[in-house]
Amino acid sequence: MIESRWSIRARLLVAGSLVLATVGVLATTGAYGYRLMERSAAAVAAAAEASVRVQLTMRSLDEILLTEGTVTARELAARTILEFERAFPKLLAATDGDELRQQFENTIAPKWHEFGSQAQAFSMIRSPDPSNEEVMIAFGRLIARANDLSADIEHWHRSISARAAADLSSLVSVAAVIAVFMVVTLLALFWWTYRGIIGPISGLASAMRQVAEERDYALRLPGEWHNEVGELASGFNSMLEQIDERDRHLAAQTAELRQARDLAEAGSLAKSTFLATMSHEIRTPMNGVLGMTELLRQTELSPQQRRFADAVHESGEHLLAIINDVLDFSKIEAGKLGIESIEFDLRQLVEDLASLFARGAAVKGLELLCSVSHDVPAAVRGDPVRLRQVLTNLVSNAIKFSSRGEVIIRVQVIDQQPQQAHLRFEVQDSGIGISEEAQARLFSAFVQADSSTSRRFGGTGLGLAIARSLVELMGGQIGLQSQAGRGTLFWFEITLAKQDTSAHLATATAERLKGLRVLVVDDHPSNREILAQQFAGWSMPCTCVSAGQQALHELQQATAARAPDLAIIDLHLPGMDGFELARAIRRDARWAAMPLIMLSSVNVAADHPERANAPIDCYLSKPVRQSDLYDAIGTVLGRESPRLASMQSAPASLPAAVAPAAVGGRVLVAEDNAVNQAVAASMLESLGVACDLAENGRVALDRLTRERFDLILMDCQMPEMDGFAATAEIRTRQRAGLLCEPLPIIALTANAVTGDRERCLAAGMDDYLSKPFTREQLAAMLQRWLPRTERAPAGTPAGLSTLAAIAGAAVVSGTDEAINPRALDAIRQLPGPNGARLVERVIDAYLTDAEIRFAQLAAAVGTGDAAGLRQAAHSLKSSSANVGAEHVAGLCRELEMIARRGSVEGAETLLSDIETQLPRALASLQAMLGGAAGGTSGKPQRPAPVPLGDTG
Amino acid sequence: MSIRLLLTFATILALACTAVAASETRPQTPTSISGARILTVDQARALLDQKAATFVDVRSPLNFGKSHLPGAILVAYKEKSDYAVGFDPAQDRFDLGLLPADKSAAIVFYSDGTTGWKSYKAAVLAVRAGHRTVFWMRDGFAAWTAAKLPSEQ
Repeated sequence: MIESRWSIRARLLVAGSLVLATVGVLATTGAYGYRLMERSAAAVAAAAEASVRVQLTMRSLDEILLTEGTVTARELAARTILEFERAFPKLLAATDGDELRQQFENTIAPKWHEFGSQAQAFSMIRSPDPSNEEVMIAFGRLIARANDLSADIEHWHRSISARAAADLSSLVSVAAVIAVFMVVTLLALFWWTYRGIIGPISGLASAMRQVAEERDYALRLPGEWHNEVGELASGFNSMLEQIDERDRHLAAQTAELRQARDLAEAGSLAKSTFLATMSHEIRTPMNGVLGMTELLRQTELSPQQRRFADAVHESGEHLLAIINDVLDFSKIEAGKLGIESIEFDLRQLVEDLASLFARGAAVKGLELLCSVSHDVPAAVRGDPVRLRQVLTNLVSNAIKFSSRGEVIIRVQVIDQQPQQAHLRFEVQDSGIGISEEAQARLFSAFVQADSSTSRRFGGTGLGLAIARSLVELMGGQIGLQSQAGRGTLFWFEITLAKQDTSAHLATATAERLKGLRVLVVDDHPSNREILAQQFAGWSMPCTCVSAGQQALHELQQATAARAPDLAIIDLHLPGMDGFELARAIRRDARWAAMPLIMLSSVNVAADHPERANAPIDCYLSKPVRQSDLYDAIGTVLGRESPRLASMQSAPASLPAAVAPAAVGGRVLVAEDNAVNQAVAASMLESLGVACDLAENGRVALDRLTRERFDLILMDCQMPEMDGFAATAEIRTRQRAGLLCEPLPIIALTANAVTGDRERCLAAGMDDYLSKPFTREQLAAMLQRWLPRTERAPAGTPAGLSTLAAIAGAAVVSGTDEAINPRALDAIRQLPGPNGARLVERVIDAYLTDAEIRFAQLAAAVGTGDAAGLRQAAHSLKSSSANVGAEHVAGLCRELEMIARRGSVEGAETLLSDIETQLPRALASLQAMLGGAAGGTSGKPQRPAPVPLGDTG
Repeated sequence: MSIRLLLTFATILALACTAVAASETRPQTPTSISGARILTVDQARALLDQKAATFVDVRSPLNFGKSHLPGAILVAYKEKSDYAVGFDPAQDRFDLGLLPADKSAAIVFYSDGTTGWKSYKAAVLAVRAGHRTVFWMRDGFAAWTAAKLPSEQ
């Protein structure tokens, strides 16, 4: 197409010049028309002047006639005739065109000149008399000439005008023709330009739109334009080409990446499966290691052997924790970790957890506080195991990284609806804190706050990553607020469903407590706040003070209407301690009958020397469980004689976890692994439960048909008949009436992968225990499923007698302050026949250990090794506290504090104090051991400890 | 400016002339005359072509100067008497001596038109003076020019 060869610039130039030409032609036409009109007007004017000149000439001649030729008239006539002659050139000038000029020359010009000369002649007549006929005839002739001339001029003027009019009209028609032509040309030009510019551009635009909408980058614009649009199109085409090229490149890359990703995912999956399998393979031998070690520790061992066994056990536990972390993590990575939805008591879970950590915290000199807001629903539905795991992780971290101050566990309601509650859990510590850059990567796997931390405190660095994953799996979020050196607050928020049936505390007690006034005396602000909140939840008005004097002042001020009905007193108060305050309160007759509840930390209250004769109605150990406090208040208010009840309430102060209820019954263990058989059997024996063994499911079935058992521990994977099949068979037979009911079956599984639990429950089992399990876990399981008995079925007499003997010894040596005999009560309270032996073993171990530790202390002080001193002091502190050597424990704690500051300054004084106190404690224990040994079954007498001087 | 001024002036002049002409109201001349014959313009033309008569223009010398029949002679009739048949010739002046001496020669009198009494009176006076062949072109020079017959200056 030739047209398209025109560039847009050329088109615009052509259009512009054409428009200019049009304007020029029209302007020329207009100017010509104006000239025509001007000439016409000039002709009219010249004609009019000529006529007038003729008339004036005639008038002047007439004047000559009338005046009969006066000089004046003649002069006027001469002038007039002169002017008449002068008018001629104008007339000639106004004559346009050859034809007209010719006509003018032929007609008007001779007449003009003739008239002029005749008029001249007439004006010269000697006697111009009107009566002179000749004159008059001549004048008449002149008039005729004048008229003739006028007529000619008129005619001339008319023809000039007509010609001008004709010219004008032809001009107008020419102009019209030109205009029409121009319009047509411009339209054509417009069309031409439009086709040349707009056409290609809109084609280009629609092609671009098509590319943009359909993402068809293979599209190419036609190359039919050879102008600027063509350049644009080719530019666009090359752009498309590049995009297409890039797309192909990307597609290839994506394919490669996808392949790589698939490979990586397959690898990751394989890794996770491998880990799950490995964990199974690891757990089975771990069960043997831990179980056997535990059993080993319960046998008679030399102190050195015990240390070794303890070390093995501790390492095993640690290893198990690490394996669990790694396994959890790999399960989360593999997406195999599922979240349960089962009913549980949230309040109990949190408070149990607090109790579990209370001792560890107290040993470190930390205060562990637990505040569950009163509006937190207790009966909820969720995954208690995972929730506990998260909390355990956070609390153990908090305790691990805090060396002083307090650790607070808080549970608050953010938003509550009839069906569910959005809860916020907080764990606050006063530890080393976490720097901001460390916070950012804290929740990542394999990361700790800094590498030095891991060296100091150990840990896999997976705990928080797992906690975050668990919280996210529960549909919540986790975070922290921290400032290096000023403690850390870890929080997470999750939504838990509420149970349909309300498991709140009985309303009868609630009604009874409602409106009672409480006086709280505690120097610890957090504790006061927690208690105040709990009392507010029970609608009990509460007054909080921080010291004994304030409390007494408050009581003196109290009017009858505002008198407190109850007082909660902390043991440790500044100035006046809890017991002193209690006595002071009792001295006032008004308050003699007011119930007093004392709060104390775990390891002090139970064996305080003043406890026996203090006027306290009830003791509670910190952290106070809400239900315990509630029960305690209910109990003390219900009593008529508070004093008498104080002795009975003493057991309530013991931590619940330490004193599980005794269980009894006969358990069948279906397990093919000989080591695991031995572990299970020994543990059951130690728990006072009789047990029988079966190698596989079939043997177990056989035994069940012949004998009666209360519970089965069923391994899942066994030869011949596995646990699932055996369970199914048992349940079938029960339904058929061949086997008696009920028969709880607990699965033992080394496979901790999600789905095992469901598989176990689906097979008809009641619960499951993941291998390796501890004695406590087994005990808890048995407690849940076995019928409860008052006493263990076997071995009780010996245990009782031993207890009595030890108690007696303790009472005898009660005046000896070196040893607090009640400290060992906790150990004695362990169920089963081994409690008493355990006491012996503990003392035994201490007798050996203390000397070694003391030697280490002395050496560390001697060499100025603060780290070694801290470790040794810590160790001796713990063991001393366990056996009730409180003086030694206190001294060791001070030593540890010094060592923690990185110095050994002032350690020597403390060391010499320990040197004095330790032999006394050892002697007391030796005596205790001697007394107890008398009552036990022929246990060999321990040799007396070597004097300290010899070891140092 | 000057063109318009001149045009206005010319117009006023033309109007003045018309007004003078319009004020002249005269009675019609008689349609018969004793002793003379009335000629139509065509008859007069025939006589003129044959040169069979002397055409006498009795109008003023001025009008004669303007235009007259070819070959006509001027014998101006100075008219003061009434425009009536019974006019008093003594009041007028008409030089009969200028007429052809031959009393039998044909003479055609004419003046302006049907209201031109001058030719009537001249014809009457010529008859009285004894001229025997007297013609009167009653329709006058106006009719002559109207018929676009030739004239002379």
